[in-house]
Amino acid sequence: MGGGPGLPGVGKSCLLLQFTDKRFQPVHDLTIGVEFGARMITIDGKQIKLQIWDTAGQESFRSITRSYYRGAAGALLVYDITRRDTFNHLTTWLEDARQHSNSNMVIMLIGNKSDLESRREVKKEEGEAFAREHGLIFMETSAKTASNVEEAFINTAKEIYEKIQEGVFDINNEANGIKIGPQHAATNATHAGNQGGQQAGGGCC
Amino acid sequence: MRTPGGEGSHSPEGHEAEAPRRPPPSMAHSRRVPEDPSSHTPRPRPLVGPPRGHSQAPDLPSGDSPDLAGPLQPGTAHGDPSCWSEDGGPGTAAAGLGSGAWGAGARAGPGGPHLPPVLWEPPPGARAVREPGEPDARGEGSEGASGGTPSVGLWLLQEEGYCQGTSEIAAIVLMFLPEEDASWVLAQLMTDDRHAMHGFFVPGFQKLLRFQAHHERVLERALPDLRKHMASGSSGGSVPGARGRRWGARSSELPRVGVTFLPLGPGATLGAGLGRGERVHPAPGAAAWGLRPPALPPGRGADVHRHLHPEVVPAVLPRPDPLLAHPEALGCVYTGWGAGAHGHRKRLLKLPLEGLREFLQDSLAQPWALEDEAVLRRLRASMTQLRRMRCDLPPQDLRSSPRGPWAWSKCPRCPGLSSLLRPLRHPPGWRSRPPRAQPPSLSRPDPLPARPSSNIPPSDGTPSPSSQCNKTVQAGGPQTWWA
Repeated sequence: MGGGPGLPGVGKSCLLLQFTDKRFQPVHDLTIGVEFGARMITIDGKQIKLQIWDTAGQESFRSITRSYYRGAAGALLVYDITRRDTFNHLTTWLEDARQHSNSNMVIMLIGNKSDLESRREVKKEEGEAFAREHGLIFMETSAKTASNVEEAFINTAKEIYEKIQEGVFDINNEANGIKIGPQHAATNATHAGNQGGQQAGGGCC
Repeated sequence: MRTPGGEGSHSPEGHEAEAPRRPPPSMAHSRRVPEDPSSHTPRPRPLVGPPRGHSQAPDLPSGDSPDLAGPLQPGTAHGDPSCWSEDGGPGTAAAGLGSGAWGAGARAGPGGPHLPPVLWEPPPGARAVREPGEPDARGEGSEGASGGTPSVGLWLLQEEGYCQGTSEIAAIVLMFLPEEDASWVLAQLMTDDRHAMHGFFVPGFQKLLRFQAHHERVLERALPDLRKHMASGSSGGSVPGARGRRWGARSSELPRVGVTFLPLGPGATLGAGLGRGERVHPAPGAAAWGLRPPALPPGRGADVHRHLHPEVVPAVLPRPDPLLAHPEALGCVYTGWGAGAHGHRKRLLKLPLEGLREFLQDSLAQPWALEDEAVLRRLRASMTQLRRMRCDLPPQDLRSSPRGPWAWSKCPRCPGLSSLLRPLRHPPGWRSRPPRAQPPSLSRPDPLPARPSSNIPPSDGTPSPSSQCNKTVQAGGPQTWWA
């Protein structure tokens, strides 16, 4: 989940790596353009494959990453709790994501690096307030300790799943990033990273 | 057995010497001419390779080994480990998608032209994409691995490599297609001589360098003053050149990434691939400037290609998304420094180099409110102009072809892509997506078009796809599903 505009390094790729491979890589290469990840999860007894697009946080890639919002069912908007500038840029990223994506896209706000409590610059309450104000779900995670990482992705998927149940997403329209697999398992695409944006696409199961 | 080599089906070894040839007017017909079996020297079969038909192979490794090392060591299997040992062996597989679903082991192979051919066969039971939890190219990420077989990515991209630059191409395809199909599309783009994208991602930037050289040439002939302006910059060279060098340097710093390939915008790269491969290359001009997908959104790329190559594009990419419409920019990308760029010449000449970059990356990506028709007309005019200048094709001396059985003129059609590329001329009963009930045979990367042939409904009812395929393969005779 990338950094804010021009501020990569909030930990989008690390979150993805932690979620898909359950490992942490302290030094991660700069994401160029986009990378992909996928993981199968079970929600409500149904197998769901999350296809996650990990987008670059750098400003110079922004025009590229914008096009990847298309077709995402959910997005994880990530900032770094130890860097206030990444939090300050959230609005820009959020606008960008909303503008270029499906209006029903589930967006989760992630404050990453919660293990670095001593260097915290953004209070948890501030994140919560921002999320409330913009109608997002909020969570603080640590890709390093894996704290809340699973939950962040799975809660996003659950939210998408609920929207499917409510009929908000038309599952027959693949542009929504959701596909039903042969065993009636759902797939979700999610974009991770925004503030970066990470985007998960719907997958199929 | 057949090849997509076209009417002039040449011998596999002779392709390098062949004169540049015009692509056949319709790939649909010409590229699927069944090959006369007698014209081919039988190729030694790799020891680990599956038979051409799938789902038979009682005597082969069952393919359920989770050990990725096996399939990654074809050299050993062929008694020729040397072709793998050069850069550390499969264990150092360059990149792979960090944690990607594609699990493409970026095994950037040796790029020199004199290497012993590597015989590639997909490992038995291989699939096109890695399932979540399956070990990746480095054998990592195996938490919860189900003991699955390796992805074809490992096998397929040994030579071309998967790097972060590739991911941008993959993303465009993946936006419109399911993973498996997308993987095959990528494979085809990289191995086929028609799409001719081989070489974009191999170490040494063979194709990129060729495109850059061509870009310089076009500039020199069409817009000498602009070239001079670019060369006068502090970078000491043209912007694309500088970018290329910069990213080239970066890639050498990052062996894990293999080749980082930014200078060519993915859209344009893909565009070049989907087009006539070598021909729609006014693209190198603008593409090397780093125009990005918004400047060349996939939908629009598809549109242009639909216009130029109606037989291919509808199959690969769906209708363009109006949200992504930036027709003028597209026109400029595709016309490169032909007529399209002429429109901007005066403005470009006044811009400092940094402004130039911004202009090309940002301003140009904005919609210019030109009708599609106008863009396409401009494109055609540019192509004509380039042809007149004899600049429509980049020089041939750096052509890059895959080695081994995928070498041009002997490039097999994967089943998935065959069906993808041919939606309009399918035989009765053809289905674009196979029923999921037959996954083992369908997901196998068998070079023969099992999927289409399995979809021919025989008169006496539903066939066993695999048995029919095997029969066809064993017979080695012409196949008619594409006719």
